[in-house]
Amino acid sequence: MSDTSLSVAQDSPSPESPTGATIELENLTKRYPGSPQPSVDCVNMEIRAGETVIFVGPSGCGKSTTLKMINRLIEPTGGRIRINGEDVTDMDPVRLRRQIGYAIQSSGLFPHMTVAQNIAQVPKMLGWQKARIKDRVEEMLDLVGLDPGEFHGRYPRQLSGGQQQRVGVARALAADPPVLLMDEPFGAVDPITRDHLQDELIRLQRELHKTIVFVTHDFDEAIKLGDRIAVLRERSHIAQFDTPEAILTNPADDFVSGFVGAGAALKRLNLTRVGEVEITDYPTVTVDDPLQDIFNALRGSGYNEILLLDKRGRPYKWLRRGDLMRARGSLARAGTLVVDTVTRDATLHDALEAVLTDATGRVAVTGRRGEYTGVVDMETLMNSVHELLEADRLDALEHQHDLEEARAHQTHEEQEGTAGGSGGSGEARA
Amino acid sequence: MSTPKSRDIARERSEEPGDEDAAALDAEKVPAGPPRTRPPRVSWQQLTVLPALLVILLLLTWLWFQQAHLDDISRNALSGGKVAKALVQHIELTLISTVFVLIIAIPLGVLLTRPAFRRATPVAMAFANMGQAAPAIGLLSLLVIWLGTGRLAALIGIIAYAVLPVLSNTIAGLKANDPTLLEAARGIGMSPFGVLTRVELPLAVPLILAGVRTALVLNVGTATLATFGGGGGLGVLITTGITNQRMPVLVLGSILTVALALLVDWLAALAEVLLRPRGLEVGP
Ligand SMILES: Nc1ncnc2c1ncn2[C@@H]1O[C@H](COP(=O)(O)OP(=O)(O)OP(=O)(O)O)[C@@H](O)[C@H]1O
Ligand SMILES: [Mg+2]
Repeated sequence: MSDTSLSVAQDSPSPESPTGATIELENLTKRYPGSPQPSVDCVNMEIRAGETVIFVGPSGCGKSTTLKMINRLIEPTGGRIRINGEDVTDMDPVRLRRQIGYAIQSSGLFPHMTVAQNIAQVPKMLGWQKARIKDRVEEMLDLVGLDPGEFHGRYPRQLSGGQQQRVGVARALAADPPVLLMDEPFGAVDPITRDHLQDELIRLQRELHKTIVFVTHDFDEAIKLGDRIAVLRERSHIAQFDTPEAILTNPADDFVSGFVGAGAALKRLNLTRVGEVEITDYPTVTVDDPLQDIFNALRGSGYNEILLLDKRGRPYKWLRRGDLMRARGSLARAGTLVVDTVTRDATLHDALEAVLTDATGRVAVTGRRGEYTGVVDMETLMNSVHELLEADRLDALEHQHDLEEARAHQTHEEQEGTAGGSGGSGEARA
Repeated sequence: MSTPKSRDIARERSEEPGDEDAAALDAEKVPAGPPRTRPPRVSWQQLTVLPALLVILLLLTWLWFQQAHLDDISRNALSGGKVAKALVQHIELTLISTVFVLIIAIPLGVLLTRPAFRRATPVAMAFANMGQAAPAIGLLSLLVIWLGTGRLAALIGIIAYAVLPVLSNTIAGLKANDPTLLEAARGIGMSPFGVLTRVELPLAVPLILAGVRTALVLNVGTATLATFGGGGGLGVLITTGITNQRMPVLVLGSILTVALALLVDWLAALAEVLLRPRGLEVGP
């Protein structure tokens, strides 16, 4: 196994500058033997390089089947698959899969291999040098936020569900594939861990720019992660394939709006990240500062409270004027603990939640290691949301206009008897 | 049919959910910490109890022989290294037959779990069942009629008798593997051969070893019948003891067989613990 790179990977010139590949599905069909109807019926879709596309739809609609046809774990019974323009429908599936990352629910880690061995699998199959594999394993563990020294030699059963899932993602990414397929990867973990993993994936994707196809039946997850969302109905027919904003503000039909569910305006908050709104500076002091300095800082700040940081620069307590009066030389008991912070990758929804629960009406924003970087307050949030909704309204109007034009065009074609494919495929290219 | 192998399967199966629970608990309890030294896999009690018992058994036998009155016939049957020869022959018969059982049963089990041959599984299992259901002595007689007396007939008889537990445990072990895990293995680009050797077989090792252990013990037992086909072994002592009505000879043959069976079972148990893939262990 020495010459293993195929043109799918050759387009990414070096491991340091990985970019995704395009994926085109053309009339992709799967009919399982013995069932009268195809389970996936004539799917047409173009996925751009570096884009995250989410398949979302009710159980049994064919999401997994469609996904697994991309790496040919399931052989299509009709249609073509092209990756970076190359037709992979007939190439050796084993070679194809080594170029495509694959992560599934409950991680699919091999229980008899250590974390390092699990991650090393694909590089090993590709014939990498030992030293390079070793470095890569450390790098991947670091990338998914696990301490290499600590987790390297553990077995999967010695990890929590969330940690297993991280290792699963690390394994999928180890050989630096341009394409990453994920089938409900976060389906089996608790909501809080899922939230963290989603944030991590967003961060990863910002660094790596893979083409990710991600299956879920959780629409909120789809909104959070997707550049575009394909809402699928039975037999994998595409009900709508568009940006999350467009689907939220302008669902194509009743099926889609049913799937979007109630509270579209609130869900809109999931689409914008804290990093995209104005993060303001706020006066801070640290636990090491002398009490008198803290006192002066608070008095000079013009605010009612000041943010106290711990030794590592992480938000620790809100100190009010009264707290300081009563502190009597020690900060140990003064002030209220900071209960909730958000990162720049958190959604406005999370930030709003935090602001509403925090007594001060603002929330501290932290960096990767939990260090303070700024605050977001209620006013900022309100302004941002108003701007967003206004922008959406304009987009929707424009979109409606486009759609009407497209419909007119289609009816025109139908009248001439040349319209081919289903309505779904028409919208897929929208 | 409730042979040891079906019990073993049941035991292994019933352990699984427990393992997962333990793993889930572990996962919560496993915090950051310095790498711990791994506890030894086998405790010293496990290692010593049975050998100690065996030593006592053999010692008692030896003491008994010291005071027993042996006439010429007995003396003749036991003298001139005849006991050692029978013992060595017996061990050889057991080992050779077990090796062949593994060579036949494991690849066959692998083959029968591949999609292309899955249909043949019932037929093959029926044959294996026949091998075991047929009375060993009858099978041996048939083989002797066909092949003449000698070691070969004896070996074939023993092998036919022991294929079933290893075969059925291999099949059960391979079938017990989580299909989504195997799909994940294919999904990351393992070839079918890679999936088999790197995932399926290692995960099936505990069950396969349980089958091998059963087969080994069976083989020690059936090898006593080799004497009827002229294959030698400890059966020689037993039959001599019976036909000449000499208790000491009979007792010695029986005790050595029992001791050998226990020892082999102990060694196999040790192997089971030592060869079980690390990540599958219970406990920390
Ligand atoms: N091996 C198979 N043989 C026959 N039919 C199958 C097979 N696998 C899946 N199907 C059928 O194909 C359809 C789509 O299945 P698929 O697993 O793709 O659904 P899904 O959208 O991933 O659902 P879920 O959200 O529950 O995972 C289902 O109706 C299912 O019954
Ligand atoms: Mg599915």
